[in-house]
Amino acid sequence: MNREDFAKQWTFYRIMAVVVGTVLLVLTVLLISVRGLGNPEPAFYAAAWTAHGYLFPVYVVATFMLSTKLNWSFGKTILIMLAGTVPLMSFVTERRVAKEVSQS
Amino acid sequence: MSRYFSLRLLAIHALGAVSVLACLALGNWQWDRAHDYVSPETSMAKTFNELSPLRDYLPASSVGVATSVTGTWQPEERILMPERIIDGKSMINPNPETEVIAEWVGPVGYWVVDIMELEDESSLGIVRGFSETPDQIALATGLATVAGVMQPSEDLPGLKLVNKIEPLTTKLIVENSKTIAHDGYLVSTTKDESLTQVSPMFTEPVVTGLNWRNVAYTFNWIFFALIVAMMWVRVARDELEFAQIAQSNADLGHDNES
Repeated sequence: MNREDFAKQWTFYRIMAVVVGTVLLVLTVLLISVRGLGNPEPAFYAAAWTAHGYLFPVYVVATFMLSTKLNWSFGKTILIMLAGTVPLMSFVTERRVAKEVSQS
Repeated sequence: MSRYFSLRLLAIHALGAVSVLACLALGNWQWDRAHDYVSPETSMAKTFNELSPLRDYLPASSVGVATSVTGTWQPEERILMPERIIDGKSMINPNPETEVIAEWVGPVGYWVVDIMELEDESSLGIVRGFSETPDQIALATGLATVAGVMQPSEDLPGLKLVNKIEPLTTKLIVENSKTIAHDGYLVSTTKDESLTQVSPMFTEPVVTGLNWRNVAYTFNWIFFALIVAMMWVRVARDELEFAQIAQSNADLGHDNES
């Protein structure tokens, strides 16, 4: 495995996991505020959901590229990709992957 | 040659093709939703279920369209919407960015919303009319046919009411319905002696051009389709390489044996 290449993929994945996780967390809080508590929608609400729609595929690419470097199984790759759709889960998987990387 | 047709590779191609097609189909669906507008004349020719499909948003093209429904009133599920006037249009805040306090000349009272269970067992919120004393309005019971005009849920993006009026939302109707409810509500135009007929907020479709949110989602799905296609190519290529290496190793072993 080319170390420099791997370092790039790893950094790309970590950035995307944190970005997608943070955006999804903020949007989930807003969703509860708007739909659950009946508060008015902030001006950026619709645009933020659309932006998340574009950020998630980038996270999927980052996960896929890392999976090819770490020889993950198909199932594991899909699960880590799906973690980007569950609030807080991308942070958890990012920590687990970090542990895996440090051990390898 | 057989390496091109291994079961694993065929499965990869099947999954890749299905995933790409699914993304493109979803993109196509969003593109259709972006072009939701059709003329009210076309919408009027539709059946109620085509006009207001269950388990989906009320299409923008159905807003303001006259229709009629037949069903059974659910008297115990009445919703009263306070601080309202007869003219729905006057309750719309023309500047949604700010809170507007409007001074009304006419009477202020309640919109009486009763739930009707339609023949397919779905529920529909129907604004029967306006009253200053809704307690005196008899509960609607039995089978009835009501003509009216379809309206969107009042938490529609971009729609804000004046005087901080509580919006009549699909969520509220769902909470007061025993069965699955349609999105939006119907403003009754059928004569009712005990109530004043309400003038609907929207008499024509709210979206008459492209819906840019759905356009963004369309490109979102195309973007996703491209990414899935890229992954498909990469996985198939890796699979072929592995098969090739395995074949070479097998050939080498065979040569050494002979």
